[in-house]
Amino acid sequence: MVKNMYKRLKKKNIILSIILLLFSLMMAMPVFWMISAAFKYESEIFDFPIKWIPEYVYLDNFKTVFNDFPYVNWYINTLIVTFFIVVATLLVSSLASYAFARMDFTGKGTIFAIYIATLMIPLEVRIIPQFIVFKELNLIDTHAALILPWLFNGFAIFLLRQFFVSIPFELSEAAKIDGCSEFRTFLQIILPLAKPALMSLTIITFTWSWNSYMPPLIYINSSTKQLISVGITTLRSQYVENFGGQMAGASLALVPVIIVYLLAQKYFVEGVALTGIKG
Amino acid sequence: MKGIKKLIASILMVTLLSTLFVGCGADENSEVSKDATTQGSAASKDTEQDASNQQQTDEKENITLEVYLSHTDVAEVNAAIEAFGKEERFSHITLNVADEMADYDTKISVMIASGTPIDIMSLENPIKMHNWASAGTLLPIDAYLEELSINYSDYFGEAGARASQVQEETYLIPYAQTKWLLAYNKDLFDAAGIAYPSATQPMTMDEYRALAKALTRGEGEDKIYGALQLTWPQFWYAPAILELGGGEAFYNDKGLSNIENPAFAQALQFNYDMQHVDGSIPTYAQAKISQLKAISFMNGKYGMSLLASWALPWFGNEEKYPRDWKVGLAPMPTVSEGDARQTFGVLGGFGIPRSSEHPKEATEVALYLSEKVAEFTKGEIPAYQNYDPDELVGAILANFAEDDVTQEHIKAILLDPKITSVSEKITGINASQYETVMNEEVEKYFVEEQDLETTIANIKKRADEIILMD
Amino acid sequence: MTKRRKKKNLTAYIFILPSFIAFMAFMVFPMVFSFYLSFTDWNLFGKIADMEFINFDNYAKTLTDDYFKAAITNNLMFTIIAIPILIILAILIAILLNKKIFLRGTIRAMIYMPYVATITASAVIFTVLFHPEYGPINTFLRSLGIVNVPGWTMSSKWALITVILFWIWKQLGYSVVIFLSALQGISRSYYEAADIDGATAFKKFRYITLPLISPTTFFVLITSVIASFKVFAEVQVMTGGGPGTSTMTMVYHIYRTGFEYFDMGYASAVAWIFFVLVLVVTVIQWIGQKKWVNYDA
Repeated sequence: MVKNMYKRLKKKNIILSIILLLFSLMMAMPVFWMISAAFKYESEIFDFPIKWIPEYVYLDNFKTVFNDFPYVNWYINTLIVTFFIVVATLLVSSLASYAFARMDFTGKGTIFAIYIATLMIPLEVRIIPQFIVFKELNLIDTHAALILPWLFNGFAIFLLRQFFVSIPFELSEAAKIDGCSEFRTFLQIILPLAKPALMSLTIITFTWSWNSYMPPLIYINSSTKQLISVGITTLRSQYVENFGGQMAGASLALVPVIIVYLLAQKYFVEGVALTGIKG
Repeated sequence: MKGIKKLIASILMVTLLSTLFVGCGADENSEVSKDATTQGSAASKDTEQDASNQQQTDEKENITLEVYLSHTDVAEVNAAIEAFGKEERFSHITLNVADEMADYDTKISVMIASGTPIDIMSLENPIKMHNWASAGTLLPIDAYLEELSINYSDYFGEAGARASQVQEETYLIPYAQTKWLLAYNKDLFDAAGIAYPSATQPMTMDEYRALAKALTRGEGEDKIYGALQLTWPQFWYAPAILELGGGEAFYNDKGLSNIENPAFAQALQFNYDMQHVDGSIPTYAQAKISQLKAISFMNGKYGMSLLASWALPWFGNEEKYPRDWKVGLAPMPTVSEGDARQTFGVLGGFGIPRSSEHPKEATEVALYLSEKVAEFTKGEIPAYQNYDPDELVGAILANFAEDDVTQEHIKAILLDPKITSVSEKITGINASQYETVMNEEVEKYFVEEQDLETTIANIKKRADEIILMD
Repeated sequence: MTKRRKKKNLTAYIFILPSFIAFMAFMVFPMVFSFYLSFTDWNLFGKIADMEFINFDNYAKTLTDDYFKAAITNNLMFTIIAIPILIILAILIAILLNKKIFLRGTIRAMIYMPYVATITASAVIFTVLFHPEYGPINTFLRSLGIVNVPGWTMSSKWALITVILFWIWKQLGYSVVIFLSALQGISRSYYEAADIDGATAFKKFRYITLPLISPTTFFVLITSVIASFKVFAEVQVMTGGGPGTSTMTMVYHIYRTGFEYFDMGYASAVAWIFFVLVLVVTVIQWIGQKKWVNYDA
């Protein structure tokens, strides 16, 4: 009886796997297209129907990207800037979210509401005054200008706050009774429990800052300091898109994002749940 | 411990508050550059007089010009900049050419808006020039031209001089011009058994249509189209502006939209018929969805293509754009039999922003660069009139080694003085928005959601509103 | 205020201080600046000192601006249609991807791909799928006997829906990630207890899963609504706002007015109206959360 049930479950799982696999293959098609375009001649890239495997494999796109442009610089810059942004976001936002979720203070509701409100202001509206700020601070053409604005991340604060708020208050009460300061409670009790939320925040922040386009476009002038997202669009010349080259650069740029995703999603394993809480 | 916390808090508060005063800094900056500008012209008046006295003047301080170009890979411009570096009379001027920028328009807007001093910028076409000029970004350079005793018509021709102006003030220092022509796929003509068009005598639009129909064959994904057409509006309004004399004709003599002139309706109908009745060119929908670009002509599936002179170097680039077919060139078709020969194109070049701190020097340098581009031409048709046409022809011809294109062809199509070149884009007030509105309505017409009369009526109404906007 | 209260406040303020400084410098100043701009006719390049104060003219102009009206309508329709579909799909997929299935990590990664791929690449694929003549979707519809298949991006009626579907397709990756993390927070003991009581899968979903992930659902709801209002790149790359104005959105209008027509004053006014609109929608959602969001397990 149990064996039959087990067999049926397994069969269900396999069918499910296959359906999901097909579905996800469809969703992954843009990436396949990007890679395929990177190996094509310019006039064939947008040909329809799509030739997934190009008739004539054209390697010059990659050559152009590496030889004619400081692609390696862009790559390293993007890695460094993104790293700092993710670290800064995790540190600063978890502190702030903790306060909003588990502490009581005057003005909490108002400040939080304003923080959320800022999510609604599109970057295009803020960019010119922000540029003026950085100009006055002499931070134009520096990576600091790219990292600093992320110290305020309304999205991250909101996300973590939602998570922190659903951790039972009994835990922190117990810790305080034992003599823990607020900060220690934060660091040693709450943070470890928030790993899934922190991991999803890492994935999202990494993706956003890796693909961020407008800030590096506006703040960075030197080609060697530029990031990948903007750098590859400089392959465009006045009348030719050079899309193949751009796709060569963009495909290589996908690798870190995918790696971060695969590593972080390991924390999304069923069963790693709150322990020690009864009812 | 508590005291330190308070100290930290107050320091941070102060830093905080000081950032709020940043806004005032922006005003200061713009005031400063305004002074610099006036100072610049006052100072240059002095040096003018000194120079005319032929005195050894030590007052030529070293100045640096900030140059922001939309593309840093134009061979002619780079050659011109190199020549500039060796020029004795400019030894006190250094050019600081910025790195290649992505999304030039957005980026340069932000820079100028925040008061960054820029001396020379790119003006790629008339619509952009109009935009920047009407927004007050650019300096009119007529005063400096007078000081330098430069006659614009001598430099760039009557039409060129006029095209560099907005409301009688000169803003553009052009260095290149483009002209449109017709390219055709000789192999496809052979396959259809049709004789090649003449390289010296233009065909008419009706002949173009008939040829396209004859060349079209096949169905579905392997279809060969008689001609390539993109979603760009000049493809449909070409006959209209050729008949009416250029982009200025989008405005009537009252300054309002001239779209009700029958030439436009005829042009629209003509193009619509080619798309939907003849099926000889890709429909607007197909062109948009398939993201057709000018370079698509190189894949050999189109019998002909109207294209601009900047596309000619592609034919010579075997590495990037290999093709196994031969190409031929023909002049831009005329509207009716016996019409005077015409084509259209744009002037592109440099402009001097208001935030420049050395506008007179910048103007001088820009003009010099324009002259040098003409000297070192590698295929761009220069705007400056005094150049060796044989060099230009030679450079263009180099792209057609195996195509049986001759010097006579190129001269006849591009350089014949009998050909008038009219402006390719809407030229006038609020051209950018006018074009947007026109494209929106035309799109609906071409995807068969709206009839011709409604389209024209809508364009007229909306364009007039836009023109009257302040 | 008691001394203890003051100390508690201070500790809390120190926790939020780093974010607050950045907030003041990089958010408040731009917000105030753009608010000021919305009352002027600054065209981006004239001297800031030169611009004229034109009071509410910019705001009045929006009442007669066809693009503005089209944009607001489109944005509202966009949000109303897109959000329910997105949330339901995302929760379902997250639940499926939470099970122990073969190649789970790879499948999860592939679902995330449209979110990270270059938007042009995603647009090409999507356009191919929805190609009016050769695309699989229309071919399938035709095989069902439907004669007048939708023109998708080339039809004023269907263009907005196509952009919506494209946006949902891209957003799924992000939403699924967030929901996946939320699902981790549900202790298995709840499900085990329910199994003992003989609950069906649906009952478990309705009474355990949904309430326990409701704070996250709320989060995804709010941020997705805001994201749907800010749609810009998807429109730019798929339709350019057309045909006609059927896919014009607010941010696209703001960007074009500010950066292509250089009317920064007007663009700021539109941006502030946009801000108020999204704020109202968010507040409504926030008040509504009391009815269905469970905090404190």
